Amino acid sequence: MQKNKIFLLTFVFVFTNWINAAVYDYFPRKLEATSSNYGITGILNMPNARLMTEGSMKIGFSSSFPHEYTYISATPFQWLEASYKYTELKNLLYGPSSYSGNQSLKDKGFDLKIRLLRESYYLPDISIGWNDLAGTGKFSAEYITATKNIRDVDFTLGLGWGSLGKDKNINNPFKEFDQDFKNRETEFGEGGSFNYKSWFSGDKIALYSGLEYYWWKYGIILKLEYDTSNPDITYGGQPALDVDSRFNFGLIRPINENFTIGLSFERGNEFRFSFDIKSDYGQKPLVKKNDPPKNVIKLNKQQQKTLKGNNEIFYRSLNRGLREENILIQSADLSDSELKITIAQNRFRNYPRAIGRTARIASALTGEEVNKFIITPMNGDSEVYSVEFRKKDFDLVEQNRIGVKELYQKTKIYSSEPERYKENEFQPSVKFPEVFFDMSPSLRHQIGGPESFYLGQLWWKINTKIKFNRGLSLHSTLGLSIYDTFDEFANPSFSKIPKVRSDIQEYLSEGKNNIARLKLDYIWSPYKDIFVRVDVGYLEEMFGGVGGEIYYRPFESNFSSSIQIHKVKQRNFDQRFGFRDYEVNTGHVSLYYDFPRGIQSQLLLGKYLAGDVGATIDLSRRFNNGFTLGVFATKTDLSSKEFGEGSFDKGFYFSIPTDSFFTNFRQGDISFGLHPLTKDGGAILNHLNSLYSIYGDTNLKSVNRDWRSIND
Amino acid sequence: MTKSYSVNLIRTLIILFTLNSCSNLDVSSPSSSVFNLLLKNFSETGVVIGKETIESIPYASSLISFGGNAKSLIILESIMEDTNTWISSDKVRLIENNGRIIRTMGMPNDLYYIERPDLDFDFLLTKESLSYIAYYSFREPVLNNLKVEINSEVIGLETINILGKKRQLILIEESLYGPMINWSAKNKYWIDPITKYVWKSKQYLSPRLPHVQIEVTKKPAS
Repeated sequence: MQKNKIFLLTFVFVFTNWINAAVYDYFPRKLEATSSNYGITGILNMPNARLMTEGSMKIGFSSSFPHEYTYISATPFQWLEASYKYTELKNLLYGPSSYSGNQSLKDKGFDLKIRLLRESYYLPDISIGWNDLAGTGKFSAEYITATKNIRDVDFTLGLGWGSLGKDKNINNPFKEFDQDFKNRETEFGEGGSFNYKSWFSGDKIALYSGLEYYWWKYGIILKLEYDTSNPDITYGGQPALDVDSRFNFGLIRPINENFTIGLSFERGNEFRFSFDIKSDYGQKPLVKKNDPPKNVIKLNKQQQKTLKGNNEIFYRSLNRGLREENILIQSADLSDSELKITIAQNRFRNYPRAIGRTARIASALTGEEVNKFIITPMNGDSEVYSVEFRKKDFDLVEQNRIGVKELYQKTKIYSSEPERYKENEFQPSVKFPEVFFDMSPSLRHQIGGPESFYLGQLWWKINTKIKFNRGLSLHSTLGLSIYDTFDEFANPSFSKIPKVRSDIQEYLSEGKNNIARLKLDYIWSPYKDIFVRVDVGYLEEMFGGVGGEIYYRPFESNFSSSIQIHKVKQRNFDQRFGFRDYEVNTGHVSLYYDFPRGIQSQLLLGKYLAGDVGATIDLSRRFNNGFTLGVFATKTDLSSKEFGEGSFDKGFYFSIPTDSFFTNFRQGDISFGLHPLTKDGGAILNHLNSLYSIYGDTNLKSVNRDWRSIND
Repeated sequence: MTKSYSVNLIRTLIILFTLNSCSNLDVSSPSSSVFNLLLKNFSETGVVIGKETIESIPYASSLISFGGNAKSLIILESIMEDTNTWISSDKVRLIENNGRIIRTMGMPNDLYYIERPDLDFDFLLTKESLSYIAYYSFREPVLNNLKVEINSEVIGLETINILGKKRQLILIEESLYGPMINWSAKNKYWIDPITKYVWKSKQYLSPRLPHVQIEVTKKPAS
């Protein structure tokens, strides 16, 4: 009887869970793990073991007294979450009032969390994390935490070190392995270096816990935690705070799929308000695409007969058809059995999609005697590769009779010989010079300075490109100031090395109306897989000069490399036509490698703008739709002292494909990059048209990645 | 007879296909689906569906719209006792019984079955208000027997204009509440006071779908 009861209870429990699994799809709001107060996924002040969905990015804000956080978090991999945050410490001044007025102290920090074990039926999510990694140490902490969901409740248990372990309720278990873990460094410096010797150290640490109840019915998450950060104990130069309770609680309400607000009560005496905007850009666009191929009607036999032997009409028809898709013929050649087309376009990020749309139109216009298509896309006036398939196979894909994978197997894809397109019969006439022009409002700013947290300029940016011939173009960017707050700058650079970047305040305040760029470049491909650029002029806002780049991209390899050298001179602060005295020869050997799963790496070795010599490592994750998240770090022969605060140059960037926000396809990205500090060490030229940016994503791997779009 | 019916049906579907194409919904594209019909704001700036169009189609027809978006035409595919099956150009089928949609097929989320007391509008019109329980089942994804509390209330006469024809119809409102998932919705039915025929309705079929509005433009032959 007892056995039956246990069986029945087990059955009911399991079965109820199964029923509930379906119910979750019908609740009014999707509930998922949310941010801690400071960005990384967590309960409130304490982190849990959860991470955002892979490819997600979130911008958020939470405010209370004395800590106010503004953060950006991202999940480049399903096992890694990173967050960059500004913390305003409202109870501390930035510096003496003569230096920074009444501005409160701002602390920059970088948090990282790695999932060690993914939650399963019996086992919890387990993660390890670092708060304020390479920061000033005011909030430095490490943790190992486990979170398990049991019937709509996420239970979290964790071990906290550093600022999360001030409760000191248990001994540090790592002492058993090495006595070095017993002592934790309590000196707090300028930040910027990885103080790894302090990680997971301290005689005593804290065991913390918390729970989050997913109240699906009402679309709310209730949170409760035992806070072991004990702000009533001074830490990192911060004054002690009144603590009436070690329990914090709060509630989170997703307003919609992207926007979440929260309210919590912490330390028993302060409220906190928070909100964040999140999207999983890597997995799906914000707006669903509705940009199908144009309908084409195949020519009937009579029409085909008329076209046959009259290539001129055929080319014009093809040209017109492709223009409907914003694809421009660069050349074409129709013989008895094959059609060669070279195309250029700036609508599709993904070349196979452009190739597919070209083939669709070509197929409709050609008769049965044409059985092979050779389509060559161009970028930057150079052929990037050629794709050769049977017309019949493409038609079968269109008719859903074979899959795109089968077409891929039957397709020859190879690197193009340069300027082969000139051998084709049809060469549309192009009238040079071509002028391209666009303008838009833009922002320039400095964030986190001592004078004010944000100083900025609304700037009218006018971009012009005059193309004199294939590959030869003059690029200009002019800026007109609309409104700015740059007059408040009061923090000149005292750098001991050539001030190649740290005079940023002078460049911004004196160059409000400026010629940000005025350069002539010539790009061509002298040999297969080799691309060359030479450029001269005002290359960027701070430097002008002359130089060039050679890029080698073996088509079938995931590896590519480049060499670039420039002789440059520093521009005047007003960014008109004059130069300052400083000049330097700068250049790098760059090695690029594409790892699986969209991981792209770059290693730059060479001489930087300040004359320092060293290396830059750049790692990024590119999702299939083009959303990219990346980090970089540069270490040169400058000592930490010479470099100054931050110890070495580092930063992160992301770019969101513009067409994520539109129903139709278009090229372009909305990019954002951040150096926490503008320093002179490890500085490189800000290039327009680096060859890697033009040709880096045109190797066989990229074709393979995007091939599914051939029929889209 | 069957062959003639099929030929006519195919011909009519081609007409619907053409109408929808003109109303900015490219049904010929691979990405086209009912999802577009539901979620995309296709405008009414194309062909205006008028009386002539309705008369030219030899079948019963209705105008349908999802979530207040543009209207599209559906036609009656079959009748089986009291149950009518309506079909759209996207091959979405709505199965209706006495004005109520009781099942859908081909939607991104389908209403599979409603278990409810046998209360027709003839009876409901005699009650000022009436409460009862129904159980909804869905597919894509599956959810069976979701309890829904329903309160039906007779509101009164309203003038309804369908393609220029005005009718005085009685409005009945049904308030739905699914306590398990906190789902609230309100269905509306406009009913002929004499024949008890539902000429117009606004119905919530699932918590995951916007409401569907149906206006009968040509009533099935009784």
